[in-house]
Amino acid sequence: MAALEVCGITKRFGSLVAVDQASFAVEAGRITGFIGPNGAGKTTTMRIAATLDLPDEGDVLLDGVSVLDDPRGARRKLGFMPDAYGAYPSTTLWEYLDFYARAYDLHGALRRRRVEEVLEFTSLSALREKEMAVLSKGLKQRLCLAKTLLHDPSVLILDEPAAGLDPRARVELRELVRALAGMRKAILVSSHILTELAEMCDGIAVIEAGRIKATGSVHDVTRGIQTAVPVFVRVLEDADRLERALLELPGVERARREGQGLVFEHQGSPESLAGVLAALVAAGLRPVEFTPRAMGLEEVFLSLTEGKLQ
Amino acid sequence: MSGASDRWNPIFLKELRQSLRGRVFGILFPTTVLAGVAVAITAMVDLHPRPIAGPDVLLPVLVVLGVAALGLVPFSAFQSMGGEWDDGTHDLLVLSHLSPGRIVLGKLLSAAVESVLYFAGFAPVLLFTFLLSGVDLRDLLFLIGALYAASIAMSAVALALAGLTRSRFWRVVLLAATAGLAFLALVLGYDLAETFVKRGRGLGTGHASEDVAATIGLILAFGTLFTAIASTRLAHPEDDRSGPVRWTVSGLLVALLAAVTTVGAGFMSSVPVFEVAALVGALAAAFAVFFVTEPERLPRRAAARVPRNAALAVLAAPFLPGGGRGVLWWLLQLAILAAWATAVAAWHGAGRARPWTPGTFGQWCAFQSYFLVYLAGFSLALGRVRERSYGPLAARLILPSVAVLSMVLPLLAGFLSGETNPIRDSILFPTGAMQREPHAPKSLVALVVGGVVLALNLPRLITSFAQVLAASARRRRPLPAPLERPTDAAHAG
Repeated sequence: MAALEVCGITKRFGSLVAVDQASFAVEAGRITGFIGPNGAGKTTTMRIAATLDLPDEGDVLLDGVSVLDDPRGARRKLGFMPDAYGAYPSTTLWEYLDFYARAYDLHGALRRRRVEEVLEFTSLSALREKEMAVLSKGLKQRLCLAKTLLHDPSVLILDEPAAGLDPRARVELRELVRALAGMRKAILVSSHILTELAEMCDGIAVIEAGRIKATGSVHDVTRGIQTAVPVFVRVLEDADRLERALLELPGVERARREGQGLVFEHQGSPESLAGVLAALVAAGLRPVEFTPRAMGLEEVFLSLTEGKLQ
Repeated sequence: MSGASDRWNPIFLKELRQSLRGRVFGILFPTTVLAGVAVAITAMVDLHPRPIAGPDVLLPVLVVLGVAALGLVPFSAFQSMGGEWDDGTHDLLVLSHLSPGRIVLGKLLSAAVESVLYFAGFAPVLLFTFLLSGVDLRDLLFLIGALYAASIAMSAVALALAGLTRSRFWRVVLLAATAGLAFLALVLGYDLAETFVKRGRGLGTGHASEDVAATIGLILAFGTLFTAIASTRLAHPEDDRSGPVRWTVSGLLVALLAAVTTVGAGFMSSVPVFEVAALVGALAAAFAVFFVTEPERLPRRAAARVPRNAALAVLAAPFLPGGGRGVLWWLLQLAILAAWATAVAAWHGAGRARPWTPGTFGQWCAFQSYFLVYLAGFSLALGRVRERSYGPLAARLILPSVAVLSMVLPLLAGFLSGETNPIRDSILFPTGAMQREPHAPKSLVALVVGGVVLALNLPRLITSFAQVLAASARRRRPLPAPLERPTDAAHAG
């Protein structure tokens, strides 16, 4: 059973169908990137999964607990980090976390220990007596993540956690999220920064105009839409000779010049591609570069979506 | 502190910390206390050398304290709840393990402590007014206690109104409404204080029992009702957000009838049962506007709490969410009212000027038909609107507007056409004049129209019961209904 199961949810706002029969799942210990253009239905889906909004149809299960039938039970499994989170004025980091720890029914020594643990995990221990008002955006995001972890949830939903962060803060956040996946937490994370997600996620769910366009591991989704793999090859010999040799080989389609080498498109298995390299060597060519170019998340996203607006 | 407060309400601790650290309280508290002292001194100077100056100094001091207790403390509560929306902390609170009731209770406790601080600040001045003589200690303590309780009740009103909407614009409107209510409470409180300490009708005189009962009743009613409303507004949409309010209103109406029958026995001997029953029915109708305009569906969490026993489920139906069940709730209140009126009429016997006879009962039913048309008829007509997300709010605005227009337009038409008595001649259902000038044909029309509306609502009422019985039957089954699962974790759509 997946830790997070989105089961055919639909959400309408008047005549607008914000989410249309969306289904996907996130396994424990895996990070799934939730990708889609603005207004695609990401935040609506996440808010439904977080029990904050209601679907018109469908349900979401958190560790098997329905967000509709047992929202309080579901909330015990869930850590939700919204895109716009709140801070209380005149409150220190410790007081903020202590308040939420109490709100999560943690008492006595357990509460104090848990606050210390999340402060340490998010590297905020040194700032515990600082007021929240003076924190940078990156530190506030880390604090919000710390709050999200207080009750040790098994499912984390992070809505645009990297938005507005500088590169260092983004790297630090990415490391934290990876560490959390290492603790067997199922993590759904949305972001507009696709390169960021590509380095962080095991799987993706692509949504456009409220419909899920693809879900699964990055590799599976890429393989599903990529019919031919572009491969860059450069040899010490003449490029024309390389081109002639390549086009005679099975599985090789179209070749074009790029810099001092060639890019050809290959259709077939990795074994077949290894066979191409071996055939070039057998033909007396001396390759110095031979690089298959897998589709990046941006290419995947662009080929799956049509830029539809709702 | 951290250890001692381990089991305290976290919201209370947070609110108290924020209030006491906040600049608003830091400025307003000393300013208000200084204003109270200044007012007392000014009153003293003006009154010199009257021997019994207590009442003349107490009243202006109570007004200043009233502004703090009924204005500043509820304003702080309103801002606190509104701030949860504005600061984006509302969602985080709702997601925590705090129940809506604990959140509201925490904020109310904080308001109670803030209010205590104001009262403590005013204590020397209040003691001083007592020492000036002319103020009975019991009256003084009752007025202080009532003002303190009113402060908490107004804070409950403020919390409920602030929790109604996320929109800043509407919250400003609701803040103005809160301020209006606070002003009304201040005026009523001043009148009560004046009655007690200046008009010689205080607790020691034996004439205050009705005033005391009315004051305590009003404060308790507002406090309880709005605490229930504030709590349900924070509940999950699939939870029962209507039932607690329905139970509270029913309880308050029964308490009102009990109070009118016992404490208000003198009042009851001079006012016809018909008029009391009609007024309380109108009050129930005002609340019913909120219940009959709900969507018809039984929310899932509410369905999960329907009694397993089918008979009990049917009895509980009027107190479960849903527009049709709102109509049932209102009809139940009418049944309670009719039973009460019959019992009171039987108790008072034939000596009453206007007994509760089959004739007056018919007229009362005709009067209630007027409400039935708006509550059941128009809410039925707005069925499709009510199912939309904005529907209940729209229906709650449309229903009273239509009711007011239907009274104002014929009145206007009557005036324009030169009718000598436009109320009598133009309104389809006579209301206030019906008791004194019975118009049998119009009462009959009202009853027929009411009957037709009720008949049109029958399918809706049957569906309301059917939903409850189905939920009850589901609870008796050993396993919940299976949920649809995703067919494929990796698919292209």
